[in-house]
Amino acid sequence: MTMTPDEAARFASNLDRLVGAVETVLLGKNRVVRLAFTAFLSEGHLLLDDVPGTGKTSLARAMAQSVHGTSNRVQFTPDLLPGDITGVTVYDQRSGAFEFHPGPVFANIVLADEINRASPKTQSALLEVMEEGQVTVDGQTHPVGHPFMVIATQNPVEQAGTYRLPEAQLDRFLMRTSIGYPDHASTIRILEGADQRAHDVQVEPQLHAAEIVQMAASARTVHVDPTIHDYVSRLVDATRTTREVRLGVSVRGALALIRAAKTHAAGRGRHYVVPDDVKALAEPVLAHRLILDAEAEFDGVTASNLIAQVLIETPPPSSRQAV
Amino acid sequence: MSARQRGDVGAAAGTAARVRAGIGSASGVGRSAWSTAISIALLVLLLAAALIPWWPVYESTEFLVAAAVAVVAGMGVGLLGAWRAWPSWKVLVALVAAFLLLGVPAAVPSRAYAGVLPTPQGVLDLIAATALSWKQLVTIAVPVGSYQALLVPPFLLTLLASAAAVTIAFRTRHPVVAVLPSALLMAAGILLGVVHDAFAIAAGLWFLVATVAWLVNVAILDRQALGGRSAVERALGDARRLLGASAVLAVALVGASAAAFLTPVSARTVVRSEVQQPFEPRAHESPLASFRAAFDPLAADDVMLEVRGLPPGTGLAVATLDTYDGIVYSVGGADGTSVSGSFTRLPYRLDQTGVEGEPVRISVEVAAYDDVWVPGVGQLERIDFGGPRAETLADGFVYNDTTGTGAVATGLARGDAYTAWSIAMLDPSELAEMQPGTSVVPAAPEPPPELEELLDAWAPVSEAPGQRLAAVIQGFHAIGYVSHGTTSDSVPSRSGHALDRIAQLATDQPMVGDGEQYAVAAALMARRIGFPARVVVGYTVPEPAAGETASGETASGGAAAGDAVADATATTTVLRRDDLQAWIEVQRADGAWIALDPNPDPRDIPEREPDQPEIVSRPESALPPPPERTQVDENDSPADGTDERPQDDLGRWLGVLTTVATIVGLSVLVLALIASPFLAVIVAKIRRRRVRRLAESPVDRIEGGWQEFADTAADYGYPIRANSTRAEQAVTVGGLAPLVLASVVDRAVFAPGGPQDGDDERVWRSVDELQRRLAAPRTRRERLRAAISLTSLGGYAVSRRGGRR
Repeated sequence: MTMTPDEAARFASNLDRLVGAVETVLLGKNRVVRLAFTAFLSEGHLLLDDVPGTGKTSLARAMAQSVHGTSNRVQFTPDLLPGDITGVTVYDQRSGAFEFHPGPVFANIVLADEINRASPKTQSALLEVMEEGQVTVDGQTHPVGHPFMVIATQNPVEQAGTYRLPEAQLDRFLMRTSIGYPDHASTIRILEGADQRAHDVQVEPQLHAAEIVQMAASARTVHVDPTIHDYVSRLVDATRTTREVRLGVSVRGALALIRAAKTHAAGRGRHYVVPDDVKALAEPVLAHRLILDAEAEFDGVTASNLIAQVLIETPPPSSRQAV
Repeated sequence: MSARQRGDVGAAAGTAARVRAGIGSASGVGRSAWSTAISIALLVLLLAAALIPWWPVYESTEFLVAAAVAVVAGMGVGLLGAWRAWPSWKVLVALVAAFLLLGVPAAVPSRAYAGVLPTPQGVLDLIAATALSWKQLVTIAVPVGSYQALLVPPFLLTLLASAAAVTIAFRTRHPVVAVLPSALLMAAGILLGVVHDAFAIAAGLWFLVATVAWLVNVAILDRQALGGRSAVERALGDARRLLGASAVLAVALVGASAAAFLTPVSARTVVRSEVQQPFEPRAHESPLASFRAAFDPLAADDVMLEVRGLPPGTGLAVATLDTYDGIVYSVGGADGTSVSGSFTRLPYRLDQTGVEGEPVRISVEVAAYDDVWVPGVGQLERIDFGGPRAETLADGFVYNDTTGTGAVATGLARGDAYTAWSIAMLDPSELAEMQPGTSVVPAAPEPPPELEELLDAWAPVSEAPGQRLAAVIQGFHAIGYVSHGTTSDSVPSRSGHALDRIAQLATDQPMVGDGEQYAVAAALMARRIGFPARVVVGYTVPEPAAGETASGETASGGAAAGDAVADATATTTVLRRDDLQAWIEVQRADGAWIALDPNPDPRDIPEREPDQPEIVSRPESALPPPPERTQVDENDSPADGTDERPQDDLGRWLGVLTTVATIVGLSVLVLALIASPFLAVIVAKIRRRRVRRLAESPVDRIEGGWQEFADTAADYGYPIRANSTRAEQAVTVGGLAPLVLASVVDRAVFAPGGPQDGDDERVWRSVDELQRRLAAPRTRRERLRAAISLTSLGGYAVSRRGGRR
């Protein structure tokens, strides 16, 4: 079953409402907010690679509020244990039985703040939840809820006391982006409302969680022409053959790009994907999946630059018969 | 067509499929039956163009047959080798077999049994000619027809070139190089060909056309091999290549036309001109220089030649002399400065079809004659030598067809004999009506003033050239007296024909000289009148009244029954040493050379007058003398020998109109040629738009509409990036309308269900509107520049379309 134009229009309208609501908190960051909801509605997770104080927590909280959902924030520290995230089983003397106490991961939107400050063991525990959507403790499986999204933030790896995320686990984030500092006008607007504490700002709920689940299911039905599949395949191939890249984009990355492009197209009111959807998402979806050659990194080459170069060199499809 | 069918030449299982689908591997050009046929046709065109320079060497149907057989055989072997994936040694063996089997009937047809089957002698000749015919070819007079085995060089080279071209085209990864064998064949044809460049531009242009066609064909096939493009894109890509090719051709045509008009015509340096000629006439004394020796009383009666079949009144020419340096009249040198000095070996016969005159056959037996010149009559068609040295003489015989002079380097000697078939010259019965011909003879010194005064006295410039020439001949006949200056002559006569002697002849009273002086003086005066003139030294038939030279024997044996030649006299003419004579030949307007004898009849010479009266002459003419001719080539532009002819007003006006029309026509032609590349660009864009708009499917029409818009924007200078999406291109142009159009096109291309009815028409209307908006704010010059811009046909289009898969 394929999404209809009417469904696409409704999808775009709902998304605009969500984005508009969150934008009241995160001023001047339409692109990031839209990307975050694209990841959310694509049932993926978002990695924000940013310095402190750019609004990461505000974003997560506003998103959770906008969808009538729950949100938790976990501050990752070096001494954080996996159980601190997933929850623990405690013996209840009154009932004489072990009782599971859910951790902060049991929420619709989880903000894993400074994930690279935790030990790899703890990171892995979270990433396992991200992949499977459930927590298994003492043989018991506990679904974390639906919809479920992790917005992880990490400080630049150059900062002291951080553990770089393993490449295989980076692959589990649908997108990586950064909020960045606001522009001049937005900064002034933020300063004008400085007397109001960030957590006091409330976002009116726009949709129920069930509607989000329905939108995500609807996004999966967006039509993708074979030429788009061919285009994505060529892009991925190009990342693997580029000299500066040690490890190119995996098949999981290609699937993620298609999935995100579908949501992006629906968010634009289209029931079909066009090459522009792929181009718009290629950098946030693919860049963090590349492992660059050490020499190239030393020369200052970045994954984003490489993706941009690949996009320039790979011709997009312009006709149905191109494959 | 599967990859296996395309590529696996070696697999036997794929053979049948390859036959159906084409020949050769994926690396060549034979990817389908249709492309194979086109490729073969273009290769044939290349080879045919390469054979054009060979044509002037042969000019015979036998050459065409040999070339066709070689092309078919060579290409057949090449195709068979490609089809069966033969190793190179098998191809070579097949070529050798084809050469031996087909070489005799095609290249040595005279040795083929029934014209088809090779004979052992034919095969031997063929093999020998493979090594020996090359030098023979460049030292023989052209055209050679199918003489002996001289067709072997082009046959062999064409066979090899055909096989190599096909092999390269169908079996290598670089089919473009298939042009090379044809180029080498053409170069060989030029090097072994003729010195004049009558076919040079035609051959060059045809070869260029064929080469460009081949390169375009290879490019199109390469592009098709990459696949993955729509029919519209392929058609557009092919159209772009054809456009490029047409532009190249247009430039070449302009260049060739300019070269043809602007560059001077000159003889080419080819092997024929560089190879040492078999005969150097300057190494031998001019027969006119030793003219007087023939009248030595001690040897005057020596029988020189016995000739049978010589028509009455026709001289037996020994040599024709056209080069005069003021001292000696001689045959030109072999250095090419005079056409009379260029002697080449004679093939089996010469084609004298265009020569007017009577066919004559003479049989000559040599007695005391011992010179290198082979006496003959008119223009030679064929000569057969007899006697004990027949073979040596036949091999050493050389001929100059321009002057009709033959020679053997070893010289003739007593006992030699030959039979010559010729076209005898016309009788100058209408001398007064003659107009000068257009041939150019080597420049000569100014005639002495005394001779010019005599010319003015006899033939005023107001008269027609023919009348003046007739007056000159008549003048010599009237006042001239013959004396060879021998002891038997009553009046002394100085020998030689230098300018001072000619001046003396003009002023002597009475005028005394002999053929040596009269011929030279008449030739100089004829040239002064405007006639191309030359001196002939030969033997004249004595008057029968002399009673001692015409033997009246009946001819027998020498004449083949049924020969359509003038053999009516059937008498043997004995020519003695003192029958030597000199006369002149002048060329009339139709190109025929007419023999004129200025020698007065022998008669008693009056006493020399004691006082030399001044020659009474008419006043000097105000008309300038005709210009001297300086060019050598007989094919050159006509000399202006008709200055003195009055022109009527109508003719003058017609001439002016013709000149103006010619200038205007040439100007229009040149302008059209210069503008042709720009017109080609515009036509190509119109054609491109039409192809896009009339594409088969609605999606193609819609996508074509967007490409038309993007191409227009690119031509107007918008930086339409390669590998950009439609939306990005729309952003580059700016405005909402392009973005809307891009989204409409994207929906038609990528949405399920395709476009809706009428979408294509709406898109094209939108494209037209956008094109108008792009053009509106621009000046006419900017619009013209955009119209002829190659941006959308060049790199932008290439990278955008070509980069796709």
